[in-house]
Amino acid sequence: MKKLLVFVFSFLFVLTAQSFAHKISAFVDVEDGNVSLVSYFSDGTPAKNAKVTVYDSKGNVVLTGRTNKEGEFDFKIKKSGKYKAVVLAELGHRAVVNFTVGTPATSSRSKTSQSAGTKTAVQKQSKPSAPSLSEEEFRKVLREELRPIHRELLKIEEAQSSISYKDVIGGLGWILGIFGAAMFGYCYRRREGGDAS
Amino acid sequence: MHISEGVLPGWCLITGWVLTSAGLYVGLKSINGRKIPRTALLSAVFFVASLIHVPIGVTSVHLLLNGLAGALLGWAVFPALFVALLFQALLFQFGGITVLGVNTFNMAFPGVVAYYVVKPLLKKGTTGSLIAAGVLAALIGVFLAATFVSAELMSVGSSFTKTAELAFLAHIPVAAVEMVINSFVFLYLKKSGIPLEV
Repeated sequence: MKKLLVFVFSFLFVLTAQSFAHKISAFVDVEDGNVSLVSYFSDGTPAKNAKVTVYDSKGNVVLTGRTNKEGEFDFKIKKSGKYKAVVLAELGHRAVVNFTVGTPATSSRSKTSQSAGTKTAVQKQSKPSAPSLSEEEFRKVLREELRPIHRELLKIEEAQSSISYKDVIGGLGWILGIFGAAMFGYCYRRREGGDAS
Repeated sequence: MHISEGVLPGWCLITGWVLTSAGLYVGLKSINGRKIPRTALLSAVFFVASLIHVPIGVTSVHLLLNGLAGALLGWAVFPALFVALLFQALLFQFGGITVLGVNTFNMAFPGVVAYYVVKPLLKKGTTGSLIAAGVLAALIGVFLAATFVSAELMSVGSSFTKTAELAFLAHIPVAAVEMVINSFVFLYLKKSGIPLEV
């Protein structure tokens, strides 16, 4: 049994060094009502041609579609609010991702036009010398500036959803513990004189 | 081949749990002291093997090794895989808790079938028969599991033949790799004088 153990584990460690799989994750990037969804298997393979269904907060189906070769699916949502996208890939893989389109501050165009008067006043106050930017332009610049940070955040989110060695070793420890406890119980009963076989 | 949470309807999940409970009962009864370390080891092997994957076409598949576990454990494959799948669900979100019953049955029952088919070959113990046993265990374990998954996904409206076709095609390389691993393990155990039957 000891030989078998050494053999199997050395073999598995060689193989696990390669990579990890096996669930799908979905990530959503919202920019001004343009939503891009991307879905991966946990090893980074894109989930191709997976069915995507988008629900609104009431559970009604807003739209459906399929991911492309890169596991991406882009769509537009005009109404702001909370949405839920469900990705269903082949062989029963499923991922759910929640996202919000347009926070009150950024989305509602009607609101910006209403506050146009006050906006210029604010701009004058804070930066009197700067060339006055229209709010549209300002938002565009801001988005450009924030894009790297946005990407970084998505990357972190993706990294968190993948599997770490810690989890693998932790899981092995749990299995060892459970069967160790079983072995302990078995040996204990036997020592007590019970016929435990 | 882990079915995710929220895909299957309730009756399917309950059926899965009932069948798995039955399997667990028989399996736990069959475990004696000598068999505990072996069960633990193969449980750990199955746990890690699912992390070794091969990306194929539109899906991504991983080694199952349920045929190997079944052949070496008999009915005890149920508790072994149940524990491994439980931790895969908890730690990696592979599958999920509600579908644990279905997933355990999908993986463990083919293992039990493999056990009965392969048993006489293992008993014979010649090199040829051990290799044949390895090949058979891999084929039964992988493709029977694929059949079960396809049948279950039929309940959510995907056509059986289409899913089965995909599952079968995707798992051909997995089965091929497992054939080699199984034969290698059986031959190694024989050489080391470790009893193959349980």
